[in-house]
Amino acid sequence: MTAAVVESPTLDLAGVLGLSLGRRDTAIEAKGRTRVRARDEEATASIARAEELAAWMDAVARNQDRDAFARLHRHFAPKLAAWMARAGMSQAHIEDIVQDCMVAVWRKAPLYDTAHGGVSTWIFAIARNLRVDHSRRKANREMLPLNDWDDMDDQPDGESRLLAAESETQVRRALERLPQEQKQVLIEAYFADKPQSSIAQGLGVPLGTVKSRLRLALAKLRALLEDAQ
Amino acid sequence: MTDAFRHPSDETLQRYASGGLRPGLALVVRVHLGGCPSCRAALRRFDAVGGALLDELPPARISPVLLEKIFARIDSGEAPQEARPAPVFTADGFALPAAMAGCRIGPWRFVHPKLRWARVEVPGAEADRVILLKIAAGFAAPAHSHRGLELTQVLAGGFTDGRAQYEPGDLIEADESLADHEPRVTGDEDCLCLAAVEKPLRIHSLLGRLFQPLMGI
Repeated sequence: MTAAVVESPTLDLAGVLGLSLGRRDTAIEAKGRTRVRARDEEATASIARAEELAAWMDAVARNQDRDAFARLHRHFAPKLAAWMARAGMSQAHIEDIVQDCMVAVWRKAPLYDTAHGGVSTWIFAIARNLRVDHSRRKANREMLPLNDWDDMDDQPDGESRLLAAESETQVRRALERLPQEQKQVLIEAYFADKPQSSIAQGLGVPLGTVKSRLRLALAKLRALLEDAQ
Repeated sequence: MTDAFRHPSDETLQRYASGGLRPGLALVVRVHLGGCPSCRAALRRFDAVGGALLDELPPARISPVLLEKIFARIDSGEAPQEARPAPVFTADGFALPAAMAGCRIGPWRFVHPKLRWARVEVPGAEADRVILLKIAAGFAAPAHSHRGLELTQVLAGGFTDGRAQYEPGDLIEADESLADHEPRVTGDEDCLCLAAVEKPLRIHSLLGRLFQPLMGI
């Protein structure tokens, strides 16, 4: 089989992933296509989930729907706990932050605006602020407002509202386009509170490799997502 | 010269988005974000990436009664914490950005007739190395190199370092890869900068590092 018979979306994705479809090695091509197709399906599933989450969030915001909130909790609480555990927090603090975060989700639900991005983006930002807040809890934390994501956002108009939903989809597709080893380093950079040297040690690669993988991943995301905006 | 030197790098914005940047460095980034729509857009992208990655994290075990506890807190009607409006405050005649509200500004100290600095204490992260630098017009800081990450936000006035001309609102990011950094104040106005460094250094050695040749250390 040659590249010509592969349907175009897959071919496009394969090109971005750097798969060499020009080679006459059918085994490699077939494997590559399976991988590409599998990751494309992952992206599609991820987008479908994002839409489901948005529907639950909407039910919480409009009707204070507790069943919908319980579903959001079942989805997010274990993931938030996983993040805080990776960031090196104790079990007691993890539970505190997850609780604070989900209470904030309920209370701020009426302020949630799909124009600001997806539910996961919104909850990620709330949890991030709580994480930062926690790391300096001993001080007067009311003094430094940390809700920058709510306050500093530029007011979206109708057009950017549509673009926000679109870009949520783009982000998930863009992530699936990253080579696995870059995505792995990106996940570490987001959720593990450790220096790059420890990440390198954990992966068994040189520090320079971690730095360049992260730089490549961020540059690629910027290129893919700036176009999408 | 290129615009790339006036904004935080993607690496720095990503660390800010994840909450992993030290509070002192995060303060400088937050001041920059307050005046930079394009970096706010980039931060939203990094938040969206964080959200999508969060969605994919393998779940950890949580207490089965956690949801009950959350509903109990929701029903208790405990007051939501409102962030206080940030008061506008000044330092040495300069109005400081709202993002710096809550920070304590120490006394001004001279290291040179044309160079003054004051310690900035970030609440909850008092050990972080953050300073305000006030540099008089015409002053050139001696060349210095960097260890670790250094972020400098221009609040007033302007300076050049040979790579670019910086104006208020610009953020200059420097690390080990940038050698012989030789900032020189341009124009007639004094230059005020907010700067933070990553490496744990005593305040004496911080200055030593910033203005090593000047201080003769």
